[in-house]
Amino acid sequence: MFVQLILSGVAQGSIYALVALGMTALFRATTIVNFGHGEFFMGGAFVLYVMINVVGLPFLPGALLAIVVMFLVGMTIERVLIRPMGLAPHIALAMMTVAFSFLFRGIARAFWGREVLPMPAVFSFPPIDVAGVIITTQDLLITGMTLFFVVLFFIFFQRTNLGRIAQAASANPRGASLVGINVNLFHGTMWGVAAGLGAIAGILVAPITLLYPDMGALILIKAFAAMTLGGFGNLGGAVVGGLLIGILEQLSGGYLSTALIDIFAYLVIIAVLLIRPAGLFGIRESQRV
Amino acid sequence: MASSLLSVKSISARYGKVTAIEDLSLDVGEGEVIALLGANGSGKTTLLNTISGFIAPSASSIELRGEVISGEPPHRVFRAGVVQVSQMRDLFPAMTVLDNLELGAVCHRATLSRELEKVFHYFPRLAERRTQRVATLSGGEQQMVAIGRALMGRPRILLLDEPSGGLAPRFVQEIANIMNVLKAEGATMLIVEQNIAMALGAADRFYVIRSGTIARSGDVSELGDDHKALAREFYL
Amino acid sequence: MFKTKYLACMLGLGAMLAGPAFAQAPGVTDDSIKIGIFGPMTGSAALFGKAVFGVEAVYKDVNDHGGINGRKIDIVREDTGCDPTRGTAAVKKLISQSQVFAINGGLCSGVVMAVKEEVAKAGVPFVIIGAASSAISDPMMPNLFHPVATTSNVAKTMIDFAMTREGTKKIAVVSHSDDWGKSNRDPAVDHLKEAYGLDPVLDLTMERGSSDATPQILKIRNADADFVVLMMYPAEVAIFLRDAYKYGLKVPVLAPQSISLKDTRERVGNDAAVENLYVFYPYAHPTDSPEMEKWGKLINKYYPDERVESFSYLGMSGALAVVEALKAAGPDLTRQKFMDALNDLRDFDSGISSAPITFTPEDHAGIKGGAMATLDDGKVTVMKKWQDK
Repeated sequence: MFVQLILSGVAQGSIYALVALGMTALFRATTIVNFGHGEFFMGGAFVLYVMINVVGLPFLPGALLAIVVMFLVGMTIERVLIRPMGLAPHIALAMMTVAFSFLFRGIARAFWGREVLPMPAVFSFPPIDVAGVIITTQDLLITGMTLFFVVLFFIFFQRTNLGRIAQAASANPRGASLVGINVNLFHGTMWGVAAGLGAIAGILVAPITLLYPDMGALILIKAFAAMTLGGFGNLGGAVVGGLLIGILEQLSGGYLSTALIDIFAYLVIIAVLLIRPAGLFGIRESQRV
Repeated sequence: MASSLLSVKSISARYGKVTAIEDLSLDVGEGEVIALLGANGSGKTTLLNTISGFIAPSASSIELRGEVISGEPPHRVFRAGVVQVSQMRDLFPAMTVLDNLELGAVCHRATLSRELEKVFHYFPRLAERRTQRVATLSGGEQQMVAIGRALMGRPRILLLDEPSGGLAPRFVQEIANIMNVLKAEGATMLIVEQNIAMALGAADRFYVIRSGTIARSGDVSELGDDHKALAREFYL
Repeated sequence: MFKTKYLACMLGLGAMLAGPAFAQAPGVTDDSIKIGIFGPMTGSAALFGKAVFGVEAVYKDVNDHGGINGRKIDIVREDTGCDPTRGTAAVKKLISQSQVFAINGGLCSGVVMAVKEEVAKAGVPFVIIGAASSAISDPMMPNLFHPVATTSNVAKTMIDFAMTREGTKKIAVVSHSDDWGKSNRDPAVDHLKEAYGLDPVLDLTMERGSSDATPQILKIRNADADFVVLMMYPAEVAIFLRDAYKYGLKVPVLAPQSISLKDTRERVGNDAAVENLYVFYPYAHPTDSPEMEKWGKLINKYYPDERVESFSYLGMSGALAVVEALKAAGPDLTRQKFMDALNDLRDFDSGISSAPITFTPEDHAGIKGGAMATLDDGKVTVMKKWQDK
């Protein structure tokens, strides 16, 4: 049972990790805590649904197109809603993200209000039994794709020139302007990347869960818990935190009480803030918040 | 005066309701070094930030070789060749010296290695510490990185905001030497400096700015020993 | 002589003027009966709002066939979003502003419980569409009629069904921990104790919005349960079944009437995973049978874009009972006559609900008993007792 719980925890945690990674990258780049991030997750799944069921595309092109669409949605949000606010205080920017999160849910409800949408099953189903431990293709796929995107993300940010520019612009936007980096474009791009990462998570779970306009709310809390656990603003911490939350949820559900699964994220947030506010990988120096 | 490279034409700039600069004009000729003097809060830094595009001037224009650059965002102003070394230095502290310098040449990848060689020539100390994180450097070394990073961007005009500010005397001297070297190589510079001796040491002309407007200007050569009187007049 | 004639004339005239205003009940005119409808048309529970279209289709069909005693039904619809506060506002509006004759509404038990008092005060006849909590009609409220299989009825049917299989001892319960989940779980656990002296072998929760049931499944597997009772929403039931299949859990799974077999199969995307699913079945016939398709077509006649789902039929038999009682109440329609007619309804078989509707002045929980259904070779099969497949 232990190994089984760990495995399914990793698959669950992968999704949290992707969402938390996007939120953290955006937070690092713009210092904005995006309360609308769950809607990127929801948006990815819904756009995929439209691509497959309305446009009639196969899964893979549909998924890629959905990521592109959500990337553009993210950029548009930055351009239309965030940039005009200029140097508004953080609380105002956070309120703006809350506002568009509800706006998105409203839009989704307007189209799919009465429906909880099933996604056509995409992957072959038969699970693999390895010495009593059951592994399914979708768990493998979710974990594998998450690993792929996380590695891609880190290679990009730490090994490429563009990544170095992104790091620089995140660390010091004014300094970046002073070396000719278009900081507005960078912020727009990061909104796009964050939305894209959220969408990827949504697309990965779409075939195994069901789509409804409020599906982003729960994932947002898990992502917050992951970020808190990993150290708010720490990219690697967000990933590790997400995986840990996924695994611990499963273990607590399996060995303690199933009622714990859903409050687990809140318990983590409370415990971390009280015991180790900087999180697992938090840096002692004060964060730019 | 040489042909005008940067001309600021009666600009005004404000922070919210407070007017920081009013009806201010100045000219910087090709190859000229200008010292911008004035007390704290007189509007010097605001002027540099307005030129750099961080603050939008509310009236009139700033031109670089006859082309209007006011209203352009900072990265465009930079790409036009106006490069600022800010008072806060605005480096990337978690990155290495080399990374910081290379980022200065983000828009000039082709000439990167040549420029890098030049910067290391000006600041041999930086060559030694190229793999060190900027956050671990002393203030003077950080200032060298800041100037070096600006040079990597191949500026047509360098805006220097308090280059000697807060530095130990031996670093002040080192920075002053660099100013002179750059001047000798024909660099155009607009220097805001509290250290009048150092500023005037390199400058061809000076402007004194008071309450956001130009109070006095002239050639440094005509000033003679008068700069002590100037200091008393404007800083005390 | 002249005087009396004059007087008669005056009275006659007076009666003519005053007649419609005094003699007829609120919401009733010579050619219309105003009926208020409310349900969750938007929001997270909007799926249940599908039932509203079924109800409206019944009334529109009646209108197209000449109405009731010369009157057409005038529908006023309000959206509650499944929110008790909004629901209260909606019902107040129906009663005082729209001045409806009767209300046929309510799919969320929370909303119905919140508006009960308001409706009791106004004395408006109130027929529930689909809200299933037993507390709605127990204790009985004179002007509230509940033609729905209540949660305790559903729970009883599910437990009794499980116990018809020989040797059933271990029943595991998995429910949402919200009010809805509790209102379904509690009667099941109570009935199991009272009727059979058993406690659930496991009493687990799975929250709404969960996308994984691994811990629950593994626990059930370890406990070697004979049956699993799921008191959960469609999405989570589908996820539970998917994971049960994945971990090779082959225990029969029982679910309440909010679960549709075909919809669940579609969601799980795998026939084998729903093989062990048995749901309480609120209808007399499988949804794909000609008997039910007839009603689906009726809905699409008036709402061509509406995707007909098993929920769509939920309020139709209640609406047909309303129509029946309106007819029986006669041309001089009053609220009292209408409620009397409802109280006289015995074994009203609409052909839709799994059991006929009976109201008495003492009992307004109109549907007793029910059946379970499962997919057998892909076809919906309705059964009263456990049968080995």
